[in-house]
Amino acid sequence: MVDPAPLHDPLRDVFVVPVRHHSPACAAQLAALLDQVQPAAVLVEGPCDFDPLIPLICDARTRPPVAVVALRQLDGAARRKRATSYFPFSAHSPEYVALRHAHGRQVASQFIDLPSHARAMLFDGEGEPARTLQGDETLFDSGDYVTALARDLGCRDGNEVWDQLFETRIADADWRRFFADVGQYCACIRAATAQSVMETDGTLEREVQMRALVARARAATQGPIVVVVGGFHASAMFGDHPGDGAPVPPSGSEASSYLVRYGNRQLDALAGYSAGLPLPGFYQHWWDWHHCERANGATDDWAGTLIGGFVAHLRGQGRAPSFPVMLSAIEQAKRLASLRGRPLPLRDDVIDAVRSTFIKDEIPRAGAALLQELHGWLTGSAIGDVPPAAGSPPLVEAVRSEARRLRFVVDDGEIRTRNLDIYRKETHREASRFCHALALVGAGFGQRTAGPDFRNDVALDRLFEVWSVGWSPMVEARLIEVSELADSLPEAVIAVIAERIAALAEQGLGRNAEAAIDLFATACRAGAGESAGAILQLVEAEVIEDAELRSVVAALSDAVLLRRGHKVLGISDPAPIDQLMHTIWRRVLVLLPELAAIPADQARPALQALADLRGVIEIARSAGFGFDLGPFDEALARLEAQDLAPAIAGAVMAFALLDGRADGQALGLRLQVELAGAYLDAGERLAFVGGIIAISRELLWTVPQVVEALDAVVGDAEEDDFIAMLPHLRLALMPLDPGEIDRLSTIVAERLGISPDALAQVVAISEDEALRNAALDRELARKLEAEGVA
Amino acid sequence: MSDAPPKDAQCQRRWRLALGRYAERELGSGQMSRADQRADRAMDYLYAREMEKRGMRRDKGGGGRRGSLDPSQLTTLGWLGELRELFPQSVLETVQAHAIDNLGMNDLLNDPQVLDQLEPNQHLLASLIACKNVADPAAQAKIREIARKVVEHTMQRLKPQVMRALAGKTDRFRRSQLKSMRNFDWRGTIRENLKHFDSERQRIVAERLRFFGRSERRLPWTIILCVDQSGSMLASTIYAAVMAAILTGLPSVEVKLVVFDTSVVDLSSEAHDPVAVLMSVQLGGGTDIGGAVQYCETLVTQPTRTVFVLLSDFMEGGPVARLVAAVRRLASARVRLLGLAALSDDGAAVYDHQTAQRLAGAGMEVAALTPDRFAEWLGKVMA
Repeated sequence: MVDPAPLHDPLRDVFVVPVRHHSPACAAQLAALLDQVQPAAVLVEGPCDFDPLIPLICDARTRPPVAVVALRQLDGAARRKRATSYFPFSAHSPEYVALRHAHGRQVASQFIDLPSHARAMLFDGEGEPARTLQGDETLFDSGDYVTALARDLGCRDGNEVWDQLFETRIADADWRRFFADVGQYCACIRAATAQSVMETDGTLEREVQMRALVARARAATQGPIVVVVGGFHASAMFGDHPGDGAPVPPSGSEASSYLVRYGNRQLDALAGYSAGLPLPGFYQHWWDWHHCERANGATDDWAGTLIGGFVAHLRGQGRAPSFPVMLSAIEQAKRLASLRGRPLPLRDDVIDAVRSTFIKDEIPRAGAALLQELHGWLTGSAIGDVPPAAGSPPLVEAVRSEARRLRFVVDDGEIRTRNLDIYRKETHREASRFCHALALVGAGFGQRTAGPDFRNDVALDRLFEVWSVGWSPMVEARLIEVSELADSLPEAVIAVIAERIAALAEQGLGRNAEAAIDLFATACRAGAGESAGAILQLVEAEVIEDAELRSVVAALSDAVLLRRGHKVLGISDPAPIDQLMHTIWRRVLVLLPELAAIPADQARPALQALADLRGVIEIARSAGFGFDLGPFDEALARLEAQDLAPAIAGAVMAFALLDGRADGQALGLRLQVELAGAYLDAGERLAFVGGIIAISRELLWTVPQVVEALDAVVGDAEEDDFIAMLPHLRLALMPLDPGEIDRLSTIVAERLGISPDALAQVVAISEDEALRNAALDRELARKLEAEGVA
Repeated sequence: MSDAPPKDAQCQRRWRLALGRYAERELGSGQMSRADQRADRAMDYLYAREMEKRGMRRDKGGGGRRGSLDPSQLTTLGWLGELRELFPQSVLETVQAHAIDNLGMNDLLNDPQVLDQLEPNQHLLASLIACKNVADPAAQAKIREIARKVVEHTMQRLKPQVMRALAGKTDRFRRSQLKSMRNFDWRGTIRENLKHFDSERQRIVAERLRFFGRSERRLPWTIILCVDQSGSMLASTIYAAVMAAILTGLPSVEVKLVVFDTSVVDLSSEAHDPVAVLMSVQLGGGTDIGGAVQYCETLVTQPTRTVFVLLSDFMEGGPVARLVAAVRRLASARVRLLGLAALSDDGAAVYDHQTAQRLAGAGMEVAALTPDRFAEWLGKVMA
């Protein structure tokens, strides 16, 4: 048997109150204790650098759940504060109750844990950055002691044990016995935990700090002191610890903290929050009922209130069960509770009752929709509120007001679907840009589930963009993180993009025009259009270093498409894009001479790039912002004079023809030479023609010499040679679509003197035979009819 | 064909084959034999795919589908069989290469049965390596088999060349019974056979030929092969793996094999097994040459007896300055540096000239070589 820690240290007049975070029973009993003890100081487990936020937490306008979010410097992260973690308060947090009490009676209060930037607070047991700053309470659910206890009590897990042993006693009159039992329970859990675990996860370090701060407060204060700590640490607050040193002071520069709105969804232990209770919404109802309704004497029927609330929720969705079903659920919940020895139905009783009364059929393995609904309702989607003076950074406020203006709901955490009519409504376009921007910043506000994609030319026939959006504390936390870089959303977008461009080199994607323009386009889509100039130079720097024609041409095509669609993207001034476009164009010109060095077997990507280039030039011309083609033609003319891979030579020749620098005669001659050439490989023999067709297939019918030359090859080759050439011919002709194949075959047919009539095969049938056949047909029809199968 | 059809009909048939099924309206298919029709269909199977991508649907006319003489729809496997039956080997390989390279028929490479049908050559292996990570275990085993075949074949071809180039210097003071043209001692032979001078014909009759011996290399060399894994370098990677294996077999040569994209993997312990090396190649998104060179710097123990070979297209994704600085450090330590833009049969390559020039300025020889030329270069450096 483990000795429980005493609740009260009479020598120092210190009450050490063991609690479980977010437990309504602990909160209620603590309130009773505080009322009776009337302490001169209240000390609460929590990072001591949060002390300045206590007045805000206790502000009358603060509505839990709220959280203190801490941004801390991780080792090695040179520039930015990272590792966001939270210290959440719900209305039924004992910590919150204690702070409110102290605030209401003008009693000193402070936090006594290590500062949030201390190493022990930064990492959890596995060395991962910790998400919560409250002590890990997974031991309450999965420790050896709790597991054994659950078995003995007939409970299914540690949470039910807790409910059974403590939550049921929320209204007990004797807080001393209650906390003595909690202390006993926690001491047992601690006794079942290995010393080495407590050393590595920072427990011991934190306890040193707590003791030091308690001692300091004791020295400074007259009268009783109440210390509220996680039950796990309670026993460590007593006795002599000679090794203890001075407390670690908070540092202003290493961490910064803000009070933010928090959500029930994030408080859910089942969702991975290790210091919470599962289904926080349930405990919210439990607390509210005790605190308000029962106290007011409004109702005495807890099960009825809770299940009635759920039914009302279902009614809102138009699928409420019948009244008798609800009554039987309430009845069952009560009976289950009394069967299990509880005065009132708790979480598991209610869930079991709803499951067995509301659902008539078999419950599929994946879980019934109704149960998921219940789960969601018991989790709750409430989001708290903080006073305007909470000092949240300008970026957060700017985004919130922008979101309200665009009619997104930011007051709860529900996930909603929003259809945006981006073609017809300016506000919807703005909303779309807003969503894109938040997605880019990584705030996790929304996800685009459908819509047109201008850049990839996908689903352009869609008129609506569909987003599934939900405001959550995480959105705010991420914004707070970014707020060091920017005060408004467009600025944040620019800052994030700039960071990503800088990170390209780290990912080995530096000097890649395509990757850079991709980021630029993302920024434009996210509404950074007006301030896009700021990242222009960064993008240009990547572009002018790129040595690959393919990616530069891809970038050019992106830039041209952006320029063409700039109005839809909300960019009123296309000057930055124009500038970028011309920078890329110049880069293309620089890279063109390098085509001379490309070996024949690697010509294909270059050829593709040239074909794309022609397309881009055409798009730009038709959209009315053509490039200066003079230097381009000059570069090609210079190329022509060199010894090129056949495919590239063909492509260059095609450009020359389009430009009027060469005529059909020259092409015909060149083709004859190429096709008659002494190439060993049939592929190389046809590569020149392939190059021409890749760039400009219309030459096949505008310049008769092409077909002429091809015909000579097709007609004169030995059969074996022809077969060897066949795949290459097919490959060369592949850019053509079926209509064009048809057109080409018309030309060929004319050349060969084939008239369409010659194709019709005349089948000679004599009159006799025709008559006989007709008779046979009639006979067959008659038979079929007789059989009734006609 | 013995009784050649009249020229026009022949032309018509060939054009029809070249243009495919969409030329049927104008050119008909009357001139085509049964085999031609099958050939046409086999060709269409591959080359009409591209049109599909542009929104055309083959054989999907819904209810109004017109009948055809096709016995059934082709499967990839059946298609390969048809090709094999209808076309000579060289054409088969061409079509196969088109399918994999240009037309992205990657589903070809996920089916072990299909892999069985493909001709194992370097080309195919390069494509297979590029997509092996998505292949399932059965296909993986097949890929390994193909890799083994190709590697063996390449090894057979390269080994004698490399061994010859890397055999020690001729030693003028030693004689050898090994008769090899490269070791021919013409002075000694003339001197030895002067006594057989045939004054009538004014010729020396060489009764005995003399050959030099070769000095064995005793001082140990370290060769660091630093290989870029980016997609364009795949063909070179195959040669690099084979070269590494051959070099590992040489006496008193230590081979370090390092492959990289954004991360660096040291495969020195696997260098003797080219198949294992090729199977562990992972194609990443980016390229960080500087980081790889920096890693290789740590492998250098005896700078003056180290050869550092960087096989890359020099399309550096990280900061170029860092790469140049690392190369300059190596050069000033008097490591022999070679930047290979390609290690391939034609010794030609697409690479970033600008960066290559800066590296050359920092003291690295830059070239694109065939494997035997590369072996010669090594032989000269290590002589």
